[in-house]
Amino acid sequence: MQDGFLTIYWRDMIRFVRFKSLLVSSLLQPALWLAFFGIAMASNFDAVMAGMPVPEGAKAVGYLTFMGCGIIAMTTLFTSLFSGIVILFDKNWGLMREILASPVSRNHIVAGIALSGVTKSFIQAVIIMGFGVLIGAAFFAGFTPLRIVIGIAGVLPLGSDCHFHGKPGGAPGCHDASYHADLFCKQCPLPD
Amino acid sequence: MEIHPEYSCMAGPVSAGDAPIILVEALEHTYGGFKAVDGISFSVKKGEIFSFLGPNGAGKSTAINVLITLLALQNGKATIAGHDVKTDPQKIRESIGIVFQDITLDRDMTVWEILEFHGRLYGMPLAERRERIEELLNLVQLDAKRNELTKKLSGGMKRRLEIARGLMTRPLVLFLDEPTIGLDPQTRMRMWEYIRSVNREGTTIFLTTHYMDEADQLSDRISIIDHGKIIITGTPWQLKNTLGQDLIYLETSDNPAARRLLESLPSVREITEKKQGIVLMVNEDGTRLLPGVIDTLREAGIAITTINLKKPTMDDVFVFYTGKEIRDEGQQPARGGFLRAARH
Repeated sequence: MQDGFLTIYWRDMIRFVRFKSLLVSSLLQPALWLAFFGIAMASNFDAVMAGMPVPEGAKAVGYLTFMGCGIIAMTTLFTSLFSGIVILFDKNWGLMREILASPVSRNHIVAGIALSGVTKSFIQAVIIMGFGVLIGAAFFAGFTPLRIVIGIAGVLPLGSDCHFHGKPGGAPGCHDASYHADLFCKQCPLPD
Repeated sequence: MEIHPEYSCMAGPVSAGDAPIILVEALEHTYGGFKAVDGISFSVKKGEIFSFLGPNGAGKSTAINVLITLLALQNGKATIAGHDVKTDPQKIRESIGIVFQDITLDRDMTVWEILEFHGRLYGMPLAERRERIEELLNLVQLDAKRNELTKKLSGGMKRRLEIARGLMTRPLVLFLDEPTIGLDPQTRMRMWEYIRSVNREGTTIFLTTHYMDEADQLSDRISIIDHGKIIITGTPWQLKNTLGQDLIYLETSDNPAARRLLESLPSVREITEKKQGIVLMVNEDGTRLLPGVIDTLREAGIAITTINLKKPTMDDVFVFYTGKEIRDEGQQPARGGFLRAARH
């Protein structure tokens, strides 16, 4: 069966959208972080940094932009972590046995959960970016529209770390898929 | 121990039409140093309800977990519907349905979603899936609850939903691991009805239970299993008949003397001595035999203090063959067993 991962994905997304309060808080929380940290500190930091020289080849961005990337990274990290842990809970509560006894391949289970983790953190990243732009962060500063599209399209399959394109110095991102796979392999050895 | 050779899985060539759907030979499974399943062999015919009856910890669930490919097969051979458990687990997963011992329903999914998810897991096409869900919701009478989260269902409803889920893919064999554990008597009765109706539609049922009455009433054949070994296999009727037609319990002034005396009676198959009395397994109608027994004892000058007569039950069979009562964790309805009562 070739679409087993979509079934796993479907189930995990059902659980994600099932509880409205949890859903709303998980979507609003990152934006609130951005608002609290970003707006509260941006003016101070911007004032301090204004007089400092910009190193050769680097591009100066506002504090809010810098902070926004960090918040996206943090949110993605935690969402990824918790999405992977779902498998552990499933296993502890015995729910995994239904899936393990079915013809779905083990790889599809990992792929499905990873995909739902990517989706969740991607939605959150988009919300943070939208909100960030609204309050004045400059993501993708100086990028042509084509580069932005390529940037987003290029990293989508691996995880929602397109936002790092806006980060000065291009810090390495966290790839959701690898997090899931890692969690999965270490904690949930599955019988064939 | 097999009662009749025709029920033995090793007995001669089986014709194509009557080929066993489950065939297990010398299956062993060891956890660490503990042998949970110790060389069991049995076969299940297509369309029958076959039970493993045994106390908790007898190895029933381990055996089932090996058959449903959740545990690796260590020693022995097992085939389901012609597919080898060891080499072809994928084919087996496609042809069986399972109801696990404990509830494995996602609390945060609705009844309908549980079934839909299961159908999709097994790659059923959309139209067939939707049709089957409607059928099953009707069968287990959960139609009105289709959009209810499973955490809001009662224990019986959850079990029914799990049975429906097990049937979703029209499996050749449905494995039921302790299907009525923790359910009230009415719900158990209804569950048996569902299981029977599923069986009537042609699904072979493999059941494990530690309830005597469940094994007795539901099964076509029973294997009594303890300490990882099959002790005896047969129909409920055959098993009970091995203890004779009736059981007579006597307490007398001189039990050993009474035993020696009664052993010579032609219809007495076997006599077992209990703490305070003796139990006669008799081959003919006990009500007709009883006056003779009383006369014999009276002529020998042995006084009878207590006398009781009953048909052998599955409890008696179990106690007789395993030498002990079932190790129960509650819920077993209290039923007076002769051999059991005599042991107290």
